[in-house]
Amino acid sequence: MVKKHLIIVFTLFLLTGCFPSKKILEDVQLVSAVGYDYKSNNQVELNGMVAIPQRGEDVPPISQVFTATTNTSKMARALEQAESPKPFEIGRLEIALYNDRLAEKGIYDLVDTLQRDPSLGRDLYMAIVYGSTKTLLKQQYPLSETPSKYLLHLLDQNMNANIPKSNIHDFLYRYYGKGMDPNLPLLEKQGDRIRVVGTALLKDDKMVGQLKLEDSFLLKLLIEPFEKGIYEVKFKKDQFFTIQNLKSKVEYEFKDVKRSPSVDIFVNVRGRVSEAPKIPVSDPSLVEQLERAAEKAMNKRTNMIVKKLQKAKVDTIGLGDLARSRTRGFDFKQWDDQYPDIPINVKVNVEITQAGITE
Amino acid sequence: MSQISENKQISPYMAFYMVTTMQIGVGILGFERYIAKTAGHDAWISVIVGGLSFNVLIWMIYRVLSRENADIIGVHRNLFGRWIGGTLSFLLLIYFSSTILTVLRTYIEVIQIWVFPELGTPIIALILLGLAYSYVIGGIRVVAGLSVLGFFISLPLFSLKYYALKNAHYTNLLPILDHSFSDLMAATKGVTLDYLGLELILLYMPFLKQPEKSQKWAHFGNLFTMFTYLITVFVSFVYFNQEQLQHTIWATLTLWKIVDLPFAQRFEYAGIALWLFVILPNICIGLWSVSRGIHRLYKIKQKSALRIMILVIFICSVLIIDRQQIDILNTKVSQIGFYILYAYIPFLFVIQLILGKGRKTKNG
Repeated sequence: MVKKHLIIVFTLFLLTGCFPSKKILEDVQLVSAVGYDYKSNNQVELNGMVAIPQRGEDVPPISQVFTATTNTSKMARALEQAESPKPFEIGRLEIALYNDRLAEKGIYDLVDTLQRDPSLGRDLYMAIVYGSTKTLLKQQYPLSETPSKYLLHLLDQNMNANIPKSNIHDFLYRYYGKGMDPNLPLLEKQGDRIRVVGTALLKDDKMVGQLKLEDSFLLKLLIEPFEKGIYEVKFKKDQFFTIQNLKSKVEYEFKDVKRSPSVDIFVNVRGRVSEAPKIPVSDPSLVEQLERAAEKAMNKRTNMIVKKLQKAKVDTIGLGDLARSRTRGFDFKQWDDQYPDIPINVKVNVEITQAGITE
Repeated sequence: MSQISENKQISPYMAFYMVTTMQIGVGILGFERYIAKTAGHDAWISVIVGGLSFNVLIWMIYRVLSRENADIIGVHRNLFGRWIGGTLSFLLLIYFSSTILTVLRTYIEVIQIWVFPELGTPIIALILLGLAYSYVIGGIRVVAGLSVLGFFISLPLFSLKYYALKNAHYTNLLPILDHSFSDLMAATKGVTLDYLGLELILLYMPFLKQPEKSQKWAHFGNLFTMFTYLITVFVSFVYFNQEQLQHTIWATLTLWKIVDLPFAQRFEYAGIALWLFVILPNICIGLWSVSRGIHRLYKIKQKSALRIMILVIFICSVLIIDRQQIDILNTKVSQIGFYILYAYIPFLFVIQLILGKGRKTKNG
């Protein structure tokens, strides 16, 4: 009996040969950022940025870019053909960049390959880049160890304050979902800096419009509640002040969705005056004036943004989905037809609670 | 039926663990999109309706078995005689075996797709079945103990839903009841497939001490399953929207991806490994019950029956190769299960009522 058991145990040892090979961190190249550039109608240039750790303590890793041109979006296969001494692993991918020309043609196929891969996380950032993603990834930036780290912190920081939150999950959520359209951050390389220049508005997976950085802040107010960000308002001639958002809230009111819909969006901004040269902000009646001035400026601008969205037929705010959640038997087709002409009214209410520590 | 000696029996409250562990298997990792196909964001109502209907079925199963004071094989023999009853029992055992195969093969697929794409089916099947064999050979008490262990090991996985709720869109659930009655019923039919598994009670009931006391626990087990499904569906619905859900094969597994712990960036690998403790009791209870059934039916030693079964299941699992086949297997087995529970059990119940009058209970 014992002998029989021993035989079984020993045969199990023979199985070890069948197990998958181990992946040791030192023996693979971790791709931490990828960039896609438009080549020709059905060709895409794929750039994978790899951070290669160096020997010794406190020695920052060197970043290298591997490039391959493919006509499909099969990243793994394309990169295998590249000149890397070690196999690529994309499990730690943090950033995916798309060049603006490519974004105008549509990026879903490329995103789909990423989302299909079970080794990838859901918090991958996506962004659209003016110009070549290759030059952006190849540059060494003094601000950060590697371009991918730089991009990661840049996007992280800005999504808290100025631009709507968007990672691969949010993109797919808004891409698949009815009554909403995705948005992505827009980046540009300027010398040895990368700049967030605004927000790209997408219809399905194609970029159809852009918003500047200041307008991105207002768009963010319309989409989600948040606690940061600043906005500059002109008070009088040559007199400007900036409002720092401390807490914003947004509410939507839909009327008569089934026949002739109209939407009211109420935005509440509680903030403080953070910069007001030449304006004596301690005066209570003046604070009132500042609030009205800020409301007026923001009202005008947000209503313009909404008009722009309607004209481009993109529902970046997701009003269609909000209308669905408040209407029984909602008809998306009718809503989509009516969307460009729906009266949408934004009312911003600004409340200034602080003016800093000096009088 | 000869009385089972007490030292081989398990306590009545074990019915709770055995019912839930049998019900919650691989289905929960991705059942959201199937039920949402028809009833959309209202599918959670179907989860409740389906769960409650199973409480009625549990009651029926207990009535049928307790009237004859036997397991299903004894009931069949008493009601339909040796040949017809034997054939019915045989068919039922085939169904039970195919549920074991389904769970095993689907879990192997999850491992292959998510963790080890290059690992072959025979190796994983061999390891899992070998492990299951070593437990089942220990008898029902070991198997029941394993299901308790699996229950408590998988319980903390609930807390992971927190990460999805941080990114929730609660308006996805509104407006409530935006689907027609027939849509909701279609989804209810879909969701019942995920409650399947408790019917194994038909085979292991005589091993529960004081079966009448265990009925309460079986109901609780079913309610716990319902509660689990309700939370799962709720979280998936507020994290994904309906269209996105239709593109997500394993919604729950995908949700584990967003878990962000300071010491582990990618939780889904740990989650899939932990899931073994849900799958293993599931397979073990199945193997034990069916081998017991074969033993009762054909006078083969239970140990030999178990070995034959493991061999057959191993061969079958290797023969199933791709996603389509696994999908067909899942759908077919669930459909058969649906009819067994909603048609055959009530049928037995009625037949027994009719034949029961004036017929003296005899042991199988």
